[in-house]
Amino acid sequence: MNTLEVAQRTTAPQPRYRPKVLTKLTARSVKLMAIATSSRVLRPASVVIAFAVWEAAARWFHLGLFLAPPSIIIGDLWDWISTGKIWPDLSTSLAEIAIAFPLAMVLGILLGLMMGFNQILRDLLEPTVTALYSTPLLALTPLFIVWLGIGIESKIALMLCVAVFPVIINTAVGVRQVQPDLIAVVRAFGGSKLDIIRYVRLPSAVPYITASAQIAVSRVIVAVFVAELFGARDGLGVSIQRAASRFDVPHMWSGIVVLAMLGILGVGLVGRLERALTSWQGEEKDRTHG
Amino acid sequence: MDNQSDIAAPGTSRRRDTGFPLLEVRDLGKKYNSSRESIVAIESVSVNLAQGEFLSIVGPSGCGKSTLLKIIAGLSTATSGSIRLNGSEVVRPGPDLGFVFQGDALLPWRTIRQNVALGLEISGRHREAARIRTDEMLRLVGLAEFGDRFPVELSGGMRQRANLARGLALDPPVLLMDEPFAALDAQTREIMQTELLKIWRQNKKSVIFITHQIEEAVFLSDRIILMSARPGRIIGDFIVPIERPRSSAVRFSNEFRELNREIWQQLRDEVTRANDQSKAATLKGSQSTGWGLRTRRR
Repeated sequence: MNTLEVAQRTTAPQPRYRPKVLTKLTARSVKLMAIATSSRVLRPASVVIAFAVWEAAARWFHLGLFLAPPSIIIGDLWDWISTGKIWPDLSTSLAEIAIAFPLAMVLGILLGLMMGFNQILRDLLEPTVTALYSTPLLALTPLFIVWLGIGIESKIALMLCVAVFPVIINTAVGVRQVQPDLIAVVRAFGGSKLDIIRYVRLPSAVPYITASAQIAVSRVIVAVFVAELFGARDGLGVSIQRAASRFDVPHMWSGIVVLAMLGILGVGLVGRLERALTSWQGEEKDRTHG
Repeated sequence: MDNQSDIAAPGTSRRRDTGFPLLEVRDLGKKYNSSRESIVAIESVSVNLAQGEFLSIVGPSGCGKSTLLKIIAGLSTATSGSIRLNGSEVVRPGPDLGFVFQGDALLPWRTIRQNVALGLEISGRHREAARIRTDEMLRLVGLAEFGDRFPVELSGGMRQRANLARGLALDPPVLLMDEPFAALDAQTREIMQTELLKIWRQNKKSVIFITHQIEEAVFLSDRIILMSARPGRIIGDFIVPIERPRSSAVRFSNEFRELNREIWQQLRDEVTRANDQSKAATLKGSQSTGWGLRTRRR
């Protein structure tokens, strides 16, 4: 036997000896495997599997006190919504978010612009702002309750504090991180300092500001929950706390689900706004959010 | 020095007859002072630009030709010397000098139309007049159908056309172009050069064109000025004797190649010198932390 023959035997498969049916079957199963392992199937499946495991675990081990099965949570949630009992809690939390988030954005952008444009203000504010940005201000929640009471004011103040700093910092950076060429363009046309701000600095800060809005909205939603937990009359956080004190696990979960929905909704809406405002960056930038 | 162009071109150019120069650069110098050393970027540069003339400035990279152009445009200040346009001193940028930027420097958040209209907007033209003028410019550079696109959606050549249209929109008598085609591939570049000549012929602008490509300069210009490695001085002044209108076929003619060769011979030593300079600067810089920061940012 020469070497060429050996090589042929070892490398080439021998389809001649394989029954036809089997080849067909293999081809089909390969195709099925490809579909089953594609992201489009696996990702939704991951959620379904997680819920199934959850349901099974809760029923199997009688974990009623710790873990409610999803089917019961859904029932409780439906009750809560359809009877309208959710309304006082939901409306309070929504109102707090609806006041605190826009306020944080407006205040953050204004302070950020001042810091970005004025060197004296920048030097005066930047160290403090940076320090506060990295401090976990949620630790101040009890203090805010002591200062401002258990009403809506203490919640809004806390949410504002938590959300405003990323906006300030991003805005200040955004108006300064400008391609020097673009400023030269405006100057070449005889543009003034104000023209440079209007035509170059403000528009180039927009992507920075919308990115900070994403951070702000998720921080606001965490803060609303934590603040209500520490003491409030109404709110989703309070409803979770009340349910906990009654050992009503399904109702705790209902509150958590509603809060999670609010988070997803808020981040989604801000994301949509971001895409609309920065569409000029082209398709590729868009996809990173998708 | 002030009638240097007349000496260099005794009646050879059809554009030399209008008498006094449109733009007069005299004894221009620029020094950068840092704490450690002072660098002379350009030294006693004098250039005259005649009405309707297409003048190219060629030199090795880092010779200060872009700096020179920025000073002429009023975007940067000179340490000595003066610039006169139509007899009056240029101290700040204005609508009489159109600038076409290296790269394209289009504002990415504005559509092509809004970019072309930028100068009209800043100088406060009437809205309707600006719209008409913008349409005209878009048509001139062949972008009429792309006005509503954003720069990111266009090719490099198209963006450069928009850049040119923006520079022309205010109808400045002088157009200053800073290596506008440097980032384009060779084919697109040739097409853009032919296109530029067509537009220049239609609009009767006077042009100062910066490039480090000799062929580009020869193809486009009436006159070519050579700059030395730093400190940038003028070391040569060539008339391009090639007939207009020029087509791409000109590139294969003998006189084209002859002039190319002649300019390259003069420039070669300067390019070597400039390369040595930049090598020395890199070596020196790699030891100091300041330069390290700067390179990382890029």
